Amino acid sequence: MTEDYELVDHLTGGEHYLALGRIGRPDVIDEMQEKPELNEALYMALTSASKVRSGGIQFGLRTRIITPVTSSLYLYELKARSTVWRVLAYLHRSGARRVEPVMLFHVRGHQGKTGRLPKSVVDKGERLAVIARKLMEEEYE
Amino acid sequence: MRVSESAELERLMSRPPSVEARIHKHQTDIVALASCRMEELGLTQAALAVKMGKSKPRLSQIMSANSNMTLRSISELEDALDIELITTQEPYWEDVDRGKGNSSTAMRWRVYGKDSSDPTRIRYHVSQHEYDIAREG
Repeated sequence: MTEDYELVDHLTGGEHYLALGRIGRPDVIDEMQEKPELNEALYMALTSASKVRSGGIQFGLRTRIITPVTSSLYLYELKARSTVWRVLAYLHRSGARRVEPVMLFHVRGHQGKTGRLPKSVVDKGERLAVIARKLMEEEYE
Repeated sequence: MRVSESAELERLMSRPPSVEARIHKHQTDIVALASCRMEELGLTQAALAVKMGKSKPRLSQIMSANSNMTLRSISELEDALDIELITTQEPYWEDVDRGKGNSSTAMRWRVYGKDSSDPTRIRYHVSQHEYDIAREG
């Protein structure tokens, strides 16, 4: 299951941001970076990821930087240019407070009247979170 | 794990691409700093709310990454936590006599900021025009 995927470590001046992508294809960071209308949301998502990495999951939840979807799947909800963008992320825990966010994919806007994520998005997120966890375990443990 | 270094991403992250992005960065920076300080002081959000005379939901709203803090809220947090959450740069005012003789050339040039990137140059602001000239001496 994991063989089609890879973890990509995007380095920018002293910071790094992890994303999961299909081998040979752009990951979520590449995709958002290539589309100018998504640059703002990407900047916010990466700023958020950096804060969650430093402050931990509880800090991220308390300050609503992240919203839980399932036990390992979280989302960054970002309002950019009057549009809500949601970036799904897997948060890899290693140690008591150490957490490494892995960005999975993005979806646009409020989904449905309740603003909740549709089941298909959650299912996709869970499937990718499992792959991300396996790759992170292989990498770090 | 594949490592990717892109000049475009570097450029994007070096400067907020919009006012909204800038607000988001300031907000998360302030909230992160305030949270660290709360931890250092052993203060819960409930205790901080009492100290600030606010309800816990209101404080929770202020300290959310999606809010837009006012200077009053920031100052109240700074007061309660005994910490500076934002540092503002004071303008460096200096009257420089640039020209002698008639009044039009003997204007007072006001230095509004030192250009830290190049100590040999200095920026001046005169009647809404910006000048970048070589520093003397």
